[in-house]
Amino acid sequence: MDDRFADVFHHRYAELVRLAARVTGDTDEAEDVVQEALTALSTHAVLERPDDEVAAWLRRVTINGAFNRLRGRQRADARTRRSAAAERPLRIADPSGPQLAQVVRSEERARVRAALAALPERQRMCLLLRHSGYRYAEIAAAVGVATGSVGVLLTRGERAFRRHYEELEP
Amino acid sequence: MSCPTDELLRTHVDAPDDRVTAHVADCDRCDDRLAALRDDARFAARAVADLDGDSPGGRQVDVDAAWRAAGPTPAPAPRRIRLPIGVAAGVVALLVAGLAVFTPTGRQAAADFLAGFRSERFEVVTFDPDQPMAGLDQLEEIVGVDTGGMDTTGPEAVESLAEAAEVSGFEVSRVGSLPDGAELDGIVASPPGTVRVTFRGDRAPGLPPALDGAQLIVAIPGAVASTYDVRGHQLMVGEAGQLAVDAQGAELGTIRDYLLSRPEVPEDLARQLTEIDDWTTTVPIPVPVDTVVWEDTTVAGAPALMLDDAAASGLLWQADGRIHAVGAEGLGIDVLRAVADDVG
Repeated sequence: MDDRFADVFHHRYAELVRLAARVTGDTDEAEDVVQEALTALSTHAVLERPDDEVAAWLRRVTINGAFNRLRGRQRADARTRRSAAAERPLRIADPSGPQLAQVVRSEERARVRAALAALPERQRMCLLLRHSGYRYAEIAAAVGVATGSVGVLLTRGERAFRRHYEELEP
Repeated sequence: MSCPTDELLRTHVDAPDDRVTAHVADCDRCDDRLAALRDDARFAARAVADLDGDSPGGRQVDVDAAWRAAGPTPAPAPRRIRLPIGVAAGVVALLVAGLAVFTPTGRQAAADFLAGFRSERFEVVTFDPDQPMAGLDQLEEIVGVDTGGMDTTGPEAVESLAEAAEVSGFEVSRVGSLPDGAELDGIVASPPGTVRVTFRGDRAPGLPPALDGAQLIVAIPGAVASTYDVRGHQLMVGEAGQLAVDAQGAELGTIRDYLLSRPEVPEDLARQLTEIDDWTTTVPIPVPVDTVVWEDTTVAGAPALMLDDAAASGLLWQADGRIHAVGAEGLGIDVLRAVADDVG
């Protein structure tokens, strides 16, 4: 069992970190998420299942873990903003040039993540996996649906994602 | 071919299908639909690809270092939500959670038996899983516990919902709809019981004299849980009676204040419990911070709590004097909601 776990760990770690980092935006946090997922796997019966089932389980747990982190952080950020707004007058930073572009890009990515987080779980998982290069069969296994349902979930997810993103426009 | 479904058109975007190509060449409406789907897909693709911009080029992940950090023997799993199952755990939880008992003002002290706590809703209290919580277990040492002969080995497997009803003492709610492919794995049930927790001065130095001999009477409800296999994922549908705590020999407020002041109760936990507005009806649910995400929500109009960690999610609510819980691994909250909305 230890060999099996070591093999899965080495084989999947980097892939899962890349996936989680797209959600969290922070590689260190993504590694924490993946370590938790792999720790959960180490005592889970699925570890004895075939590789594709293990991979599907890990992708699902990793994505859910990453969105949990994101939602926790969004909640904490909202608290901080409320508290800051109550305690002192708002100060507007004055970035310019490349700095401004950086700030804008960073805010756009935050909007993308917020729009993703607003989707139903299966839709956001389909969308994230598809646009991270996964095949329909892999997506179906991770989400726990028939392969034929991936197209439906993608259609709904992409439409809703765009709507949420546009609604979040500042 | 007739006009293709959205599903087929969307799949065509990723894997072109000759039949769809031929159809949209002759059908303006489907050509427009395809263009809109393609546009949404491109929009999502660009947005997701841009997420890598937070770590340009991506920091190189050192798998070997990560493996060494995990250790050849994986670190223990993060602590999950602790729900009182055994009586000992139940008593400890109630000594903390059930501290929520409080005496309504103006109650007849002469009655010497004060109605206190009835579960109606839930509220999360967080704890840091990295901080030792062993102190809470020591609370048990300052009291005497009488389980009244209650079976403390946990729930027993039963053959049917009828048998579960006999054990638990209530008629089990029907689950109106289950996910496709759900197969019953098993049913467990536990009977109701009463646990008396007596405060004793000889065990707790410094116990206020007014509390010596005072009792908390904890009515542990009967409970039933059915587990299902849903295409390899586990689904649990559980139900319990109402949790109730009464007190005898002392004002419940005095008991609560005393327990919250004990050094065994972490300061942060005591603060959160103190801040619960309506403690006579609110069950505090201990949740490890940063590991489990929760949200207040509703199930069929009743206030509910949604809990979600990396591997599993659950809904907890109370309706018609019963506590209900639905939990699953890897099925998603939408599936759980569909099940929860049809329990009754």
